Amino acid sequence: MAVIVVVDDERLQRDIVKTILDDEGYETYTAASGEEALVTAKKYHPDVILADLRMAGMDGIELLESVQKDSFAPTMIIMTAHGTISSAVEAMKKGAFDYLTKPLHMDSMLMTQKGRGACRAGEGKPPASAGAL
Amino acid sequence: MQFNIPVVRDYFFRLSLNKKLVALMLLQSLSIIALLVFLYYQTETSIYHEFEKQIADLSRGIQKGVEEVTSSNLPDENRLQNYLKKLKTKGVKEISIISNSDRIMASTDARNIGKWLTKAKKELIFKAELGEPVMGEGQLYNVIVPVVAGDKHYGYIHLTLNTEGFSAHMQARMIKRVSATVIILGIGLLLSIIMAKRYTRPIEDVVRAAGNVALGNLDQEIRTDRKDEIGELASSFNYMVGKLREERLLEERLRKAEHLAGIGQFSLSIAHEIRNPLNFINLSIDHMQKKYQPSAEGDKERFDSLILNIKNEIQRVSGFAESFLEYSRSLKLDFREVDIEKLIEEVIELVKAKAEKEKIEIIRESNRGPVVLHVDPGFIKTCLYNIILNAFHAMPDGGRVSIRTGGTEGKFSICIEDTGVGISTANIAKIFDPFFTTKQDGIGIGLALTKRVVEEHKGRIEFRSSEGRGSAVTILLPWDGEK
Repeated sequence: MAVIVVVDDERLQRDIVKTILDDEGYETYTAASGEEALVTAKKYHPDVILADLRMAGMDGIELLESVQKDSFAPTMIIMTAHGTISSAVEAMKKGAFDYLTKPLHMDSMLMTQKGRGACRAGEGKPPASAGAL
Repeated sequence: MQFNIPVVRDYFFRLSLNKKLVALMLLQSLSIIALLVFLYYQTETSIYHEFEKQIADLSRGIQKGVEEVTSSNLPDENRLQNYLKKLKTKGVKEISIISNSDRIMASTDARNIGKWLTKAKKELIFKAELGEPVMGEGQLYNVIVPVVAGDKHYGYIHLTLNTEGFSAHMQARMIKRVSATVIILGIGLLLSIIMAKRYTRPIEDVVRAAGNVALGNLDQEIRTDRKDEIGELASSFNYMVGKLREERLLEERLRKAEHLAGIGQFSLSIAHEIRNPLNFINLSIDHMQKKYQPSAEGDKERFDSLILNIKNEIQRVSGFAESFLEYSRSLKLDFREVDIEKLIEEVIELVKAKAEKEKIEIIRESNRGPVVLHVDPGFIKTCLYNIILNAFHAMPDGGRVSIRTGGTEGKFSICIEDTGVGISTANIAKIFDPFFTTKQDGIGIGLALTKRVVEEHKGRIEFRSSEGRGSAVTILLPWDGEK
């Protein structure tokens, strides 16, 4: 099963996402900041990083830019509490796989993970956004 | 009284321009009159001298004549009398010949013949003997010349001349000249006062307008059709005020933008602070629904319905945060050529179900075909939707919404009228303020956002309401006329 790192500076947010993903059978790790996420990613080589856009210190976009330099290059999914078209476009341009607006719905979140899995299996281009915008 | 030059100078400098000009004119007038009077007296004196000289010549002529008459050894008084009569000319009042014994021997005035000389006349004779000039007394000019033929002294000739006419004539002329000068100068003075007023009034206008500008009233414009320095002053003043007005407008816009930016920051943090906890709640609820379903049949249904309600309420709060953000975000309009009539139909289509449920009748009044406007269809749709939903909200027990459209050259109007509860006069002024609402669950963004959108379209929004009777919102959008 895929390895996922959940990055959010709020503990409750990380924990509930981890709970749900664990429950679905993913191997899930959490990080409280962008910097911590980089360390965790180096350690576990995740398939997916699910990161909040707005965080103190390194934010979601900066994390996205950093991990893309890594050889294993995990798939990035950005979450945000205030979705604007411009921030979504920026994230997608920089290589994010998807862009989710809080409050997240469990179904759409899981759909996104599965979509990514399908994409990876096919080794093709990522499919169009799951429409969470 | 001491004459203090600096004080006088200061006083003059302190005078208004108007008074200064008038004072200068007055000074000039007075000096011209003084000069005229001075010249008149000079002329009079010189003419008088000329007159004296002529009289002296005349006297000498008479003297010669009398000498000849008397030396012909015919000392006949009658002959003298005849000679005098011949001499009498204009301006000569009386000519008398006086004997050595101070008796008038002959005179043009017959009444004086044979009379003795008066004492005053005698004194004149003494003066004449001594060779002094004999001047007149009052208006009469007396000349007494001794008559000497050979060694013999015969007597004197006494001439009385009338200078009255001459003097009066000169004076009349002077009065005429001075009064003509005064009239001309008076007219000049009047003209210069009018000129001065004409010059100083625009300056006064500028001073007054500048005072108003200093007080913050920038709606000042000096109207003048003059092309001189005053006109230039007025136009540069108008230019300056125009610049100030522009600056103030920019300042106001900046303040508004800053205010919005402030709201923007505020709403961003609100959105963040609201949506993050919502996110947790939402995901937890989803997880609970999946993991912790009650096993009992009845409980399961009840559980699912509770979960659904919680999720709906989460959506509502989330929507609240979204609309909050929407208002604060700067509007980016995507203008397109849109058939506004069709767009209105689409909005009506959206609210039809809700209207039926709430027993609201929608009346569409339009008597034209497609009307193409240059608008952002998405935003305009949202605006109309907002207004119609507000109207529905004002009619909890059902009612009627009329949507009327119409256009005049340059403007297309959309009027949405309801038969609802209306709004109190006190609240009418506030309805377009952000965060003002009469709804319990509203946040007061709808109409504020609508107003902003309409204004971004260079349009106008108007609101009328009477409490208990209903309200009407009219949107006016720019229109190029029928195409």
